[in-house]
Amino acid sequence: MQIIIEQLLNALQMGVLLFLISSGLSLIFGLMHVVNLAHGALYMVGAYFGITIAQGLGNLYLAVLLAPLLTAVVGVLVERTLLSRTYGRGMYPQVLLTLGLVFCFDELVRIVWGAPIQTLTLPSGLAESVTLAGVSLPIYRIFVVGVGVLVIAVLLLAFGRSRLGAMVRAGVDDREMAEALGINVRRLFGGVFAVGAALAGLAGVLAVPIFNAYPGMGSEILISALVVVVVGGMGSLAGALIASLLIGAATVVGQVFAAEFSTAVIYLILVAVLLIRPQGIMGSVAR
Amino acid sequence: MKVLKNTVLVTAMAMSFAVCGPASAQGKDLKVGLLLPFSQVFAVYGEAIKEGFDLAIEEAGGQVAGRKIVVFKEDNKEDPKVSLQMVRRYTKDDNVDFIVGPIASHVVAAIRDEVHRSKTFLLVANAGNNEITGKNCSPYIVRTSFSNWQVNHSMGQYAAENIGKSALTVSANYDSGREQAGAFRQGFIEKGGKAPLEEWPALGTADFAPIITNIRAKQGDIDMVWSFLAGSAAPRFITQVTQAGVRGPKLKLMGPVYMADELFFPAIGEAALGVLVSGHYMASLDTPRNRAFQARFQKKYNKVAHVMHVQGYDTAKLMLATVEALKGDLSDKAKVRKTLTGIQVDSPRGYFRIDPRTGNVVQNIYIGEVIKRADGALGHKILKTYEQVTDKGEGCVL
Repeated sequence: MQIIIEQLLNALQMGVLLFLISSGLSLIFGLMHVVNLAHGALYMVGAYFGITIAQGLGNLYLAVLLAPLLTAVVGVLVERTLLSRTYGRGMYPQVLLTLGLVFCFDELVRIVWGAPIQTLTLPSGLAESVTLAGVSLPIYRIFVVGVGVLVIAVLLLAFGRSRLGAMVRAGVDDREMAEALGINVRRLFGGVFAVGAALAGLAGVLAVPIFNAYPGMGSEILISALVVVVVGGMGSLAGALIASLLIGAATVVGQVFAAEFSTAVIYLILVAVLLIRPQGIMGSVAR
Repeated sequence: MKVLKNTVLVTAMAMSFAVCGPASAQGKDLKVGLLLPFSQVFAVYGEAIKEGFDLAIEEAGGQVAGRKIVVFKEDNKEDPKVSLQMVRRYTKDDNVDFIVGPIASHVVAAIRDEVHRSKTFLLVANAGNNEITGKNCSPYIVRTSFSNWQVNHSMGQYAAENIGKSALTVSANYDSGREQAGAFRQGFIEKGGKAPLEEWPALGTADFAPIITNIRAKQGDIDMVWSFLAGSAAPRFITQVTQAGVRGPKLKLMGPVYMADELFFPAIGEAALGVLVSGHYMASLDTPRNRAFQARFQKKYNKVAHVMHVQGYDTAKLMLATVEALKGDLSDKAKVRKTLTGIQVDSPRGYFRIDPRTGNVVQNIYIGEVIKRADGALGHKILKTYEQVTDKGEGCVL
């Protein structure tokens, strides 16, 4: 019984971590309809910034706070100087550009931080496991879930309930109308991109103690993030959350019963959703 | 006018061909083609082998038996198709005397037939694929690194004799993972261990939480967890298992040396302490030969040499010793083979030689435990040495 509970908790924390990793992409892809394959690169950059800050300042928590901000700066730079030139030109220039950025960032990281795999040592408070009701959990995973829940709450409130969120959604639904009403859609979207980049960076630095940091780490999570966004429905953060939890649970089931296929589970879900409900779990049918 | 121009053109071309000549002839230079990756995932391994290799060439003064050593370096991306093309180019166009590499077992399997057909000597500097010195052996293929069986069989034996009789293996689900786990299992059962429980995570698994929960469920029943995972998954698994609080004096973690050595210590940190490893080289080997080698290596590269560096170094040493013994004359292939398999190399790993029956290296396998050294860095304490372990190379017919 305890094992089942522990596996359920595993599924929860995998789902939340996956949501954190995908939220930035969901925001940018979903709200701005920008194919940002460089999302993986921003995730990686966040991870490495986190390592440098944590090692330099000797404090993991500061790294978790600052790395996303630095990543947002990088994201905004990329968006303003390169990505914004591809708006309105269709998908292919964006795919080419952001894919090219992935390769560039991989090499940049290799040059600046080196190729070998690196990690962050956790402060002793986070490094152990705790036993609650007979179930043992690593404290750091609980910490990550906590941060994830916080992010989920802030995002859902900000985009669902606030005026700012309403403006963003208006800009997505009908850009010309929103602009006619005096909303500076361009600046708003720039802000959304910055938030998306920050989320990618946050996921990156949080992932380091679990998954380690190495050049190419971004490409590995990119596919998972893309699947989450498609399965959840483009433009829906709630959909991304549901999709993440679903995929997390399915992966756990896969690993327990058919470990050889566990990495394929995510694609089986993608295929199933595309066949049954192509707009995604919470997606709206295309206009 | 046109006829004259054409004649001049043709004559010039003919002359240039005559001057260049067939560059492939038994010239003075000793040509070595590297078949190693220098980009993407396996880049660290390719670079490490080359660094070791370069040190040996440098120590030899860049030449052997009066022949200048010319090294061809190109990135094979550890891809079978690219590697095949490179082998063809090396053997047909560049006419190399030796090919050194590759890293991965699936790549060496892909090029085996081409190497055999071309009668060019391949010095396998890493890939542990059992079959390349087993049922797919060739007189032209010699391996200086290790076989998957060799590194792990001794660990199985040691574990059953010293740690306990119940084990659980966590192994990446691909050919190399299966060979290595199989070797551990065989040695383990040979010395009285029970057939181990097995977990087979798919390649690329990032989060081992579900498997670790499974391990926790079996905690009372098993004495140890043996693991082999590829690339970045290796340090990840050790970190996650330790974070989950599953390891302890009653549950030891172990695996082949490349799971926890100087290459991955920065990625694992202190979680590596107490892990048992088996391998043919550890930087902490306390012999005069290894200390001297480490000193020279660290002077040139400013870092501690690990097993990959030694593999590159030893491959060059064996090659140089062979060419030296034959006084630079490599024309008689049978003689080259005989010499390659007749030399005993005094290596930082100890003595090794190549088994003439299979082409695989015969060497010591050490069992070590990760400890903190006096200088604060992580290293290995050697617990036992299995002397001159030979892989029988089942199915090899030369």
